[in-house]
Amino acid sequence: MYSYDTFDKQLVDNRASQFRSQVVRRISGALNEDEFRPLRLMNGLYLEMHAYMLRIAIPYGGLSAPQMHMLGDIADKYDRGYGHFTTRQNIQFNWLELDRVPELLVDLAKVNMHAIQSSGNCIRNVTADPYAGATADEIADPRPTAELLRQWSSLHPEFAFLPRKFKIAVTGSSNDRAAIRVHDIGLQLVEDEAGSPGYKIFVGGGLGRTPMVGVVLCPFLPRDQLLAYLEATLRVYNLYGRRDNKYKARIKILTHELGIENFRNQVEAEFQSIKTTAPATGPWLSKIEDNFAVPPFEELPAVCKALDTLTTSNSAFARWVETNVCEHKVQGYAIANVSLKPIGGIAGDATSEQMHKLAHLADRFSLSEIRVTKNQNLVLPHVRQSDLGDLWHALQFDGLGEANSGMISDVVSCPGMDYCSLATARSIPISQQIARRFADPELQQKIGPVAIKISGCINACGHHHIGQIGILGLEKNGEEYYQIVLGGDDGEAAAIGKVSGRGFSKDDVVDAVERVIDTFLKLRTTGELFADAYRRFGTGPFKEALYETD
Amino acid sequence: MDKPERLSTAKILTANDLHSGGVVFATAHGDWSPFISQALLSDDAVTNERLETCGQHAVERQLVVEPFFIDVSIENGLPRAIRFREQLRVNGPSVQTAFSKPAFREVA
Repeated sequence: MYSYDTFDKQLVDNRASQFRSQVVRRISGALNEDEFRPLRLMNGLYLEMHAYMLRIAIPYGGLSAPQMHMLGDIADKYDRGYGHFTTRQNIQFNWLELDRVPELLVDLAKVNMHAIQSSGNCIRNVTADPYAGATADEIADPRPTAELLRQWSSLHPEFAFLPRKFKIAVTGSSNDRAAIRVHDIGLQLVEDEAGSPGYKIFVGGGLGRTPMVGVVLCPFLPRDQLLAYLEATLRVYNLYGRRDNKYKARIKILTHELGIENFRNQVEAEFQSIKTTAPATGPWLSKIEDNFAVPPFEELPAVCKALDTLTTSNSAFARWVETNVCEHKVQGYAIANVSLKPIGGIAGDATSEQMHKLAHLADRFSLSEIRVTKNQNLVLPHVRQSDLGDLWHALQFDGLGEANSGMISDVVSCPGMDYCSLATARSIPISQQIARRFADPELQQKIGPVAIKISGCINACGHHHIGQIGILGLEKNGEEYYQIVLGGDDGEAAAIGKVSGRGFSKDDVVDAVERVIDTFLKLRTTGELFADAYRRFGTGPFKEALYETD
Repeated sequence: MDKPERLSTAKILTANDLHSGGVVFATAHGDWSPFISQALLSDDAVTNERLETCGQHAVERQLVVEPFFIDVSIENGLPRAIRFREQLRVNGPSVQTAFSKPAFREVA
């Protein structure tokens, strides 16, 4: 984990105290709502349908055990005993009282956490591969870069009022688990032919009402030039991004309208003019790397007999290992995915008891580290293979042991109209019904990995565009209805799904999903994945099944 | 004296409480209640105007945020929001029944 210094501590303390004064002025009437709204949003505080909602940033999805304990305490002390992990590695608390938020921020600051820039037209929480520093398939740990960007972008005066919000994701692996190509800027750590470190930079990706896959802005940028290059990119966007129409204000629209060549030329020109005066990346990044403590891994045998024995004797455990456990870069360790998708539960929700339990389990089994994923699950990144059995038993006991990571019941869902003021339909009940419909572990295993993602409005917080099966909730004549999109992909072969046709009522949409799955099961070759079958057949047979009764 | 102009759909005035953020309704007494059963029903322009004034005063006194009217029907003697979105706002999330809100104040 990164060790924050006194500057960081001072910054979050100051912001908490600033916000306390702003709340006092709002309550006294010195500030009216129009004056207060931008101030509360700068601190991640929204007024939603039923109460105030606070979005807390979890930089690059990394949480220490004490931080998770604090989130559990906050859930009990200020909320209704639970929190909601989001698709951008944040956590949201849904039931807060305005008067108590300053006190909450003080508590949060005790563990170096805050809600700064989790809203507004600024650079938002920088996200990263949740397996960073643990996976065998990365060329380098992306977290120091993400931390560099967090420090650089926090309260950056030039980029505090961009044309629109700005999201950056970083991965150190060619297996993209951070969805970098659907971010405003996506960074992939790469090496050139001589083995020197650098970045492949994507720009102009995004979801929302105009979904686009990002394109390569720079195929290789030497590591030491990152901040200058990003500053140049943000400057071009800040200058030319549209401020007259919020629906056309994201950088994806600018790069699309200018054309990538033209945009790149402008960035390059700005880069040349500032590269000697912009903040130097090298020394800053090196200092951050020094502050990332290397986990104290033990030397363990290559083969874990205890794991082999339990896998052979316990089929439920074996299934969990198959779906939820991944290879670690260090011999004898494993990465364990913890599902926040119990069948029929609410995607991404965790109770305070579960948060405390996870913090204890992280201390006991994962060198005190936890990660939050864009799929609204958690990861214990450094588990000894010999501990997987005990971990699994402990998770089972607290409703966290669902063996469905990446499976059809692991449905991503935004809060939808049950909570969100912007939503046009509910998402959560649909995700619950889908999970229940496909709850049978044997059936899930037969179907194999399928990414279903649901958004309750066109803003696409549930990432429906990049679900292999995406569902978009809309409203028509006062009724909820749901469009199905097929063929999206959030990985290295990023793709925006295609709308299948007319929408379905809330009572029909789960049957429609089942028809898609039934069609896949009929068409697939042995062991073929849904994504591969869709690529092979295209929309045709699935569309036919969806509208067979028309 | 002319009769007040009748509205085609009955309305109630709702807002979020400044402090709790919770959903509240303007009552016949000029204050705000979390219970829709206590909302003042308006089906004429005069009552509407009275409610608008009540909302404006509550904003100026830092009691509520962004008051607005919603269309309601009367079912079993109680106002019921017509739009589904407003039904959720009135009743609480459909997926967390523990957080559902009663229409009436519950008797302890």
